[in-house]
Amino acid sequence: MNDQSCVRIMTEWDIVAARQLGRNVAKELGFGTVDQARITTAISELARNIYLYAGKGQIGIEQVADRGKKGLKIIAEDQGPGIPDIRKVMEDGFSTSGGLGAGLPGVKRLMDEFSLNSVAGEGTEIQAIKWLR
Amino acid sequence: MIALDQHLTEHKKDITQQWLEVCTSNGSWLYSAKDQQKLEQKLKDQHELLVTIVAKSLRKEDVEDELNRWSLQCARDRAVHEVTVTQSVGQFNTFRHIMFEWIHKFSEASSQDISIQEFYEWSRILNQNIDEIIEVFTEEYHQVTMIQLNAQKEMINELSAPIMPITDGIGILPLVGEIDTHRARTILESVLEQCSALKLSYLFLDISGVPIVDTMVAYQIFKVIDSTKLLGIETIISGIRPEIAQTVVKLGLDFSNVKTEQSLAKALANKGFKIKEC
Repeated sequence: MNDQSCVRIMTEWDIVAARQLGRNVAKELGFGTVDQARITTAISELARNIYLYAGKGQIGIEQVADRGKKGLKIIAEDQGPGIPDIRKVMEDGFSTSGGLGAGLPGVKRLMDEFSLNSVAGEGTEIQAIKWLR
Repeated sequence: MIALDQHLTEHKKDITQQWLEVCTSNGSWLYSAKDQQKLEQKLKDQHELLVTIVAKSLRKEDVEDELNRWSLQCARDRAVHEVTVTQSVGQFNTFRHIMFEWIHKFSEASSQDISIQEFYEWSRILNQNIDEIIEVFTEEYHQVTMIQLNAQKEMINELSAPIMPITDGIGILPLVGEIDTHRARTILESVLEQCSALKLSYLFLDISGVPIVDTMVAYQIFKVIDSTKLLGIETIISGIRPEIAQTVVKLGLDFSNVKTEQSLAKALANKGFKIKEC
């Protein structure tokens, strides 16, 4: 298995592709069905954000290890408009697109580690890790 | 001495035959096996025409339109018969090699000295022609397949929200497969239409076949519930798998206003459905 794989997000169907890739990697790493569902859902949210707000970008899935722990890392990157107010997007119920506004805070809750890096006008990078228990 | 273009045109049948033989021996049959004879004849006519066009361009005549028309027609034919792009491009290249061989043979057999410039010019024209064919061909082939693909997608979409009326006023809607925004919109529209046509009071929406429920899918389900409510229909969701339930809660989605049942069977039993053995 490759340590890192990547899906370019340009159309809505790429979201499905990203999610399938994530599910396969999670399965291979030995995650149970609940964690598989969490990882897939997180990827789905991140990929949809790219599609909705940046137009295009990419989702990378990486196998990571730390002090004997194994895990899966999702890296969502885009060169979109960036997020002007990070605190706001991490609030539940905040949405600029009329959706449910559960996306990013939801992803944070679904995964074990979460980091968001965004520069207005340059793009956004989000990394999230789920550790194998 | 006869000119190259005349020589090629005179031998168009031989060239085509040779091309056909090479392609067949390569194992890449050009069209599907059925109606072989008719198709073979068509293919021969098509490529004899191509030889004529190439010969014409070697005479320095403008063949752009003809070449274009030829490539478009060829692309449509091949797409209909499901010959792959790779195969087709391979066959164009075979044609290129054979034509080049004929040009080479002609220049060797010629009594006159043929300058290297002249030979180079022929080769340039031949290559330009074939490259143009490949470009136009692949573009058109792509278009044709995209049209087919879209038609199929449309068809799948139309089939994607089948409400089954099981008794007066009660219908079942099993959702299966990935849901994207386009499909969600089709579902919403067709559900509302079907519900009012079937005069439903209850709709059982089973999502056990939906692989994941993210915020978008949940949002769309809420929309279905809200809008059916306006039509006076109560929607009951069933088939939320345990791992989906956990994920949905972690995501922070609020299903408290939604009526849910563990399974479709349970939901139906609660409405008084049971099988009586007689």
